[in-house]
Amino acid sequence: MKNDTTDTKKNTVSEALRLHREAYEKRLRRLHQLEEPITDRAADESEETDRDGEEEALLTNA
Amino acid sequence: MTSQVPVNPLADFETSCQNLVQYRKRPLLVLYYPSGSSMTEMDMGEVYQTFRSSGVTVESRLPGLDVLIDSYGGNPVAGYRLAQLIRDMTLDAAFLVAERAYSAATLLCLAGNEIRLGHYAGLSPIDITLISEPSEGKREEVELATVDGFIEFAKNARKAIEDQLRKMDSDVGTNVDSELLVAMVRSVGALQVGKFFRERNVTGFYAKELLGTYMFSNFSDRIERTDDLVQNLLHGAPSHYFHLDYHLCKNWKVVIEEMCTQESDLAKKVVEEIENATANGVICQKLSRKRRMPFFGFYPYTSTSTIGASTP
Repeated sequence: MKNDTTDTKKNTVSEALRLHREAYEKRLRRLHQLEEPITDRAADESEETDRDGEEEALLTNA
Repeated sequence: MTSQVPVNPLADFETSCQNLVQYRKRPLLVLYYPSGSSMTEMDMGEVYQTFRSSGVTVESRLPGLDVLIDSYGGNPVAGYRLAQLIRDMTLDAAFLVAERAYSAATLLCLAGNEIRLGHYAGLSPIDITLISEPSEGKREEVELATVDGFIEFAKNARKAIEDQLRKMDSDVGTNVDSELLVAMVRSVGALQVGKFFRERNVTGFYAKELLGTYMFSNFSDRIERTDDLVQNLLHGAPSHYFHLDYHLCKNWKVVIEEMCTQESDLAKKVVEEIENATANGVICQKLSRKRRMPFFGFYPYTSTSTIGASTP
């Protein structure tokens, strides 16, 4: 087993911020894709899209 | 001409995380969902990437991990999947709740060897709330607890009317309960009511799996403990909007500890700083008019940490 105190040294907050910004861009792109008209490619991804749609509708939130 | 050193916009947050890491002597995973952000299955890839970028894999699991969670909830499937992902990466997990871990976030915490609550922090029931949030129009929200309460109300109404009729020596019956239930189903929608009960079964199933595998795995009476706690989390609270504090959780036999003042202050400071960073637009930007990004970060423990290593 790797030791967490050595193998994780390279992770810094700037790395967390970089990952966060990447994820933000990715989610934005995904949101825009969902708003585009259906193309052949979009149809291929329809299963995933449907699932996301359901997530919007059914959430447990306090 | 002097070169300008770039300022780390998350420096204060980073320092607060390092202070908590040094106090607990364990690595820290932060899962922060500001208001307007909820747990979804899209989080899976991002949390996985957070581990991987730190060198943590399923083959090189951490011996122990603190997970600081701050969330109002979200999709229970996402809560369960995140819980299993975290447990795939660590042998022991403690969930630190500085302020709140409600609903799906409570479900997530059930995968902990223990939950550590900050002062006046809490969990919530894991019952279902159905939210209809159209892009145009009004947000509508119905709790399953409300449906349950209405069913109970219908039963009690029939009983009260029948008692009254008996006192009056009347032979007339009443079907007030069925009329009330028909009205309720018309209002909520038959398919929605069915969905409520189906989703509650799913949430209960996930909760049992997490409790039996992780939180209660070493208890000889784990089956009874699991059944009792799931029953309480699904049916034991009068409302979905119900704050379960340390005392209520303890009564329900959750493996839970109340943080000492120092630990609670450190954990709350992390949340305060991440809220500041959100308010300043550094992280958790808006994705749409109603939705925000969550933030995930991993902070390793190094005994000779040089980043904000002071113990307060």
